[in-house]
Amino acid sequence: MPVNAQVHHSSFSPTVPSDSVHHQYHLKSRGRDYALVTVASHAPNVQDSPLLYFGEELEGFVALSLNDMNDMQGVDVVVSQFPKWSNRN
Amino acid sequence: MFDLDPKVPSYEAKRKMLSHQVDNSHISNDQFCWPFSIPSPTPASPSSASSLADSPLGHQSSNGHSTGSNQKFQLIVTIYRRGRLNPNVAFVITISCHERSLTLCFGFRMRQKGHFIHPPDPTTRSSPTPVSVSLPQDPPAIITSWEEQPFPPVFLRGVMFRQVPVEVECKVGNRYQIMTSVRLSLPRSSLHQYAIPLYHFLRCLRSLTYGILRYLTL
Repeated sequence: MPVNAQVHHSSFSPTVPSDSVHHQYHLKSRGRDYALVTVASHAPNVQDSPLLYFGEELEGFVALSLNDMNDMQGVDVVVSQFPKWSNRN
Repeated sequence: MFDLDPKVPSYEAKRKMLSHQVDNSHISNDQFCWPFSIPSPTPASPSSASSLADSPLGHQSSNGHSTGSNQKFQLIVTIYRRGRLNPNVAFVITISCHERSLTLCFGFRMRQKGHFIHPPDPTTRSSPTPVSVSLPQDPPAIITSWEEQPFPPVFLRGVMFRQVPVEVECKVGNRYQIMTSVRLSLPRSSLHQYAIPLYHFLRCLRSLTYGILRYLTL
């Protein structure tokens, strides 16, 4: 079953500001949609590029079909800051 | 003295969800849904450190002394899977901040412009001009004139390509009341010179709309 983009995320993330939009990105595995990652931002429209505020909680969610839960071991989210821009990344 | 290794982050915060922690609260519409909320770094605030794993405040190392520009931020979402035949699935958002404009890289193939900005100061945030509206007590029995009022503009446009009957329904309301719709018809017989009648017709409708707005606010 593909991951449904119409996840009722509002009930899951009560701290997301009401003026935020949720940008949705599909993770594919072996040619099919495997997971849906959503990131909240302050962009005026969901079609716009994400607009984030320094110091504010970065919020979103990860959604998986229950069929894919059997082999799921865990999920982690890491936010990193690197002090210098590097062309290597 | 030395350039900092870009692989060593000056700030890192992590959230982890293990499979045995999944309960019914994470299930919705036959889907597993895990919401995350993770503190983002501040551009020039070398805040105190805490532990890295599942740290509520994140970890800011002592070398995080740079300013908001010339920085790179990264959000990595990784889904770990069991079995050698099931590779882990990673999702990377790289936010490269230079002069407050940045690039977001979604996954390894998509690239998109994005912005990381300072939040607006709530003390200087502009608020809409207050509008005082006097609610109707006793609506006037007859509206004698249709003079225009400084209400929000009403734009009406019409394009006709052939002679057809025209009927326009107009609903006007404010936050307290919705006025009965106004229905105007332009019969087919008057459409032989349809361009000008349609123009007058729309002007008439616009005046009626203003009249209704005036009625609602009296």
